[in-house]
Amino acid sequence: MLRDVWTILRKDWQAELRTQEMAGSLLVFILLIAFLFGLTFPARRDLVYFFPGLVWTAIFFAGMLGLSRSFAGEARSDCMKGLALAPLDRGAVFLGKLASNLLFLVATELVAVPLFFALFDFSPPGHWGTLVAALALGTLGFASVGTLLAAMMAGTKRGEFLLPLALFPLEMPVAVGAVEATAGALGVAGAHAGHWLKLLVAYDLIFLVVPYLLFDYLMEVL
Amino acid sequence: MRREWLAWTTFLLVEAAMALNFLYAPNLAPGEQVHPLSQHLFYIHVGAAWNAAVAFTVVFVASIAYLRSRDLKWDLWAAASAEIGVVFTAVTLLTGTIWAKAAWGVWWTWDPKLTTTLILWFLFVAYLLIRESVTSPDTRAVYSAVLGIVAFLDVPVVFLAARWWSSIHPVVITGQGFLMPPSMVLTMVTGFVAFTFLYCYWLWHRTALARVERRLSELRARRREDI
Repeated sequence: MLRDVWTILRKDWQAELRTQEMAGSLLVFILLIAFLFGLTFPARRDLVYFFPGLVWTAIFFAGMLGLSRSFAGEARSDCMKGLALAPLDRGAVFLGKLASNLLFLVATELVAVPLFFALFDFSPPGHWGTLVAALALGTLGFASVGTLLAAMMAGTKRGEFLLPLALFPLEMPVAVGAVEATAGALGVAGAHAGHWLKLLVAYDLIFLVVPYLLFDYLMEVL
Repeated sequence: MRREWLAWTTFLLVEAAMALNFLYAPNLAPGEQVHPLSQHLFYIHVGAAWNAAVAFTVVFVASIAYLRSRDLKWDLWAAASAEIGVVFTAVTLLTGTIWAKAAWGVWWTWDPKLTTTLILWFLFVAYLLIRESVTSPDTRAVYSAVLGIVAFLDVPVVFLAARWWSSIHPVVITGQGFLMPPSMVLTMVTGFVAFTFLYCYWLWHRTALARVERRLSELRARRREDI
């Protein structure tokens, strides 16, 4: 099982390393959105209230771009059929795709988060652990539902347009939870990071298991 | 024959509910200082909200039934119910915002119920849009079922998140339980029943229409083969 997941993950990363389809454009996109926010939200003292929301908006938008591409290659050359026929557990295909999406998102965040801190002139927060936990749990929640929906949308007309329409409302608890937990990590008054981390854990558990189970049905028609 | 019965019962119940709402129910709930006419929205609002919840639960159950049985009948039920649910949710949101403006002075607050209803509306609008963009019936059915299940399971988490969120953000109004006089209770219950019948009637109609649509596309496909 774990080896199957690893196989899918390695396949995606080899394809990415060879084509460099995503990394470059995502990096530019993140830079651009950071500068756009920098220009449109002038640095003020009360910016700490908006800062977590800005960071997560950037992550969600960049993540959306990454997700919508994650199955594009498979759909283009009819690789979904190959994956469905491969002697792999179908759950492993889901977990492998999820792992490769997660890796992408983490790589994006490694650039984006320090960049946002630098651009908005924020000193690093006191609660490092909380910030990392908020980022990790928020990213996992976003990616697990996102991987399921991205697989679906790859096969539809207007799929890249429909993905955010379905994904953003589903991710509402992640958006609120991740933003509030990040605010707590940054020491915003009234934000209780612990509370929200628990909500994120619950969401992540539900929406790791449910897509894992449903992906089996999806593979039959992709 | 049975459909005519359902149609007539629904019609009479809706008329009765309207009559009670506008002629019998008081203009002002006791202790409320709202614009008199806005109170009449309440009965429509509650009936629509209740049946939106019923409609989306039917989507969830029909989606599971489809994945278990692979019978396209369930897909039609789920799709029909989702369409009606979106209409009822839209009615709930519209009447709610108008009432809120009259009662609370604002069009919108991030109250958990309001937030959840809005998210629900977004989710099932997306559900319908995605259905529209898939052509193969089997693929469409599986996509819809997966979405219907995920969307329904999302709702409790959304509600929880919204409740926690609004508890630390300013809320314009908090718990405003009011005791209703019998005239209001009677009107509300009639509204409930009337809306439920309306839902059943629409669902029946919509699934019948969907069956005809499916038959038509089958005939068209066959004709193309003949040519």
